[in-house]
Amino acid sequence: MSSGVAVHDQCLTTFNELKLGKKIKYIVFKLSDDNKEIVVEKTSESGEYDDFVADLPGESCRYAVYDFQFDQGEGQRNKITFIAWSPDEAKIKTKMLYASSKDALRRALVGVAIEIQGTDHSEIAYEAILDKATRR
Amino acid sequence: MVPPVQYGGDEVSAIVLDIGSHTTRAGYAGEDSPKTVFPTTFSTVPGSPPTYTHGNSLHLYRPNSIHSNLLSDGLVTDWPALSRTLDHAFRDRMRLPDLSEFPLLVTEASWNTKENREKMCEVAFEEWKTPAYYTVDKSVMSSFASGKGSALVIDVGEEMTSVVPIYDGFVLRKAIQKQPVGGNLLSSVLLSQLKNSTPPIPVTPHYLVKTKEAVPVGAPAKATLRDERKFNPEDPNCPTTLSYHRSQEMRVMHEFKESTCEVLSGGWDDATAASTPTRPFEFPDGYNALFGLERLTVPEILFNPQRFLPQEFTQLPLPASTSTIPSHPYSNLQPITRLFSNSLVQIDPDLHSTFFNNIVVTGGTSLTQGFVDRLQTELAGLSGGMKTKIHAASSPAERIHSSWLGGSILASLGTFHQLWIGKDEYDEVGASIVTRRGGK
Repeated sequence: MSSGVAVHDQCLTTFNELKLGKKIKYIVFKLSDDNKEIVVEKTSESGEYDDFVADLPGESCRYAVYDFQFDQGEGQRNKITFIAWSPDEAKIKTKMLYASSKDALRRALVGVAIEIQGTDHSEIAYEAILDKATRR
Repeated sequence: MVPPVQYGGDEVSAIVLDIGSHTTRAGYAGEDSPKTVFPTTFSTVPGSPPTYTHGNSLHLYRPNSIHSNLLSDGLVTDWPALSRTLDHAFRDRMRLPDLSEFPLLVTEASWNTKENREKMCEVAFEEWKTPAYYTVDKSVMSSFASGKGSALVIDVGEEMTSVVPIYDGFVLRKAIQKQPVGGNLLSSVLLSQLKNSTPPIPVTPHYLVKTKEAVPVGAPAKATLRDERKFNPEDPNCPTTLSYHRSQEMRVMHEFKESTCEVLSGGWDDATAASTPTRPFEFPDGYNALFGLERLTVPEILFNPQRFLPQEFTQLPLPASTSTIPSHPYSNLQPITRLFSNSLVQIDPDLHSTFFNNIVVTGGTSLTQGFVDRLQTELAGLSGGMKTKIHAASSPAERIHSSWLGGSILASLGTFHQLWIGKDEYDEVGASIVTRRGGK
């Protein structure tokens, strides 16, 4: 079940840059103003996790990919994390649009290791993702 | 898959139809609330031909009228009644002679059958001449409308409670749990408890009351009744049928429930229950009193049916159903938390944390005061340390109409036109197209 919203080519290109180039740290995606396709809103090379969190709006939805890096004493690891950001404060129409269109983008992005549905800041906190990344 | 139809988008609004066991909703896609909302129950006055009444006026007193519902187990069972319901919704209420200019989106229960789904598609194209049609799942709509592609949807409605896990927009059918516990059962128990209390509290529905006077709390009612309408089950010539009388008694109970019932949010405890304040309620005949324990024990049935459901109710037959997904019988009703854990057992343990964190609560009976807090407390006890988060829309309209609302937003998207099943496709393939395209 999906809404039929398309994914702009640039989403894939940018994602591949993140995956292979290792320069881009995170990408924020959004629905275009006419709600017909998913486009890249922002890319960033900032390694600060807080910068990333600040780029997710408090009252609207977004999708994001974050190149999550961690070191648990076994050397540095990377796990690409997909986040469907849908805060409780967002309007019901926006939530519906993003929830029903997520699959199109998610399926296009090959190589995502962790997926998170975030509705408040505690669910996308650095520790929460670290916990998921290091489980099992 | 290149569909030939180009409906939806800005040019034409689609129509969204959502039939629940208590309420039917219809309206234009893209709007915030349905254009028309009316009871799913309808009235029949026997005769040749019989007179049918759909919509809000069904409660008016008509001699010999019988009340019945066109759904059983959440699925349409009375198709002629369905056609009349659509007639009422589209022609009487929305003033549309047919749907030849409007694509139609219909919601269906997660346990709907292939036959029912196809029959509905047939009705849409053949009787209503819709140019395009699509079916969506009610629970998926509720889940999406709360911004979640994956969620466990708990729907506590009029006729039943269901727990439906959704993963990435698809229903995990094997893990569906449902049982016939809802507002209707709570009202029935309440009615029997009031009638059997000492001294008995007579429940006189509105239709029997001609005039009433204000009386002090607890004093007998001083009302003149309409004796010509008096309900007498022994008299074969009595103008009032059992089903009408019952339906009107249940309306009073419905109101009683909404204005007094409450769930103890910390869990049941005899001492807390005894010290919880009483609440007043005035019956249609003017009798009024303060109610304590019964307003608390009845909604407890949702959480602990073994203890709180009176014996006589455990023998009721299950509503007829053609669905392959069984309901728990009245003799073995499950606490709502058990439905939840029964469902999780069927699901990959890796996904459990996702479902605990994304619980969507919907349905009119979930609006009982204290319900969501109590559910949160009980589920947190089940989660074994996993974070438990319940999403329940705070506005009653969003909670009750969540599946209509979800359908309304979805069908208003310009891109949704790719999904519609066109008339030409229906003509070529037949009604089975809806099963093939529905992704089920």
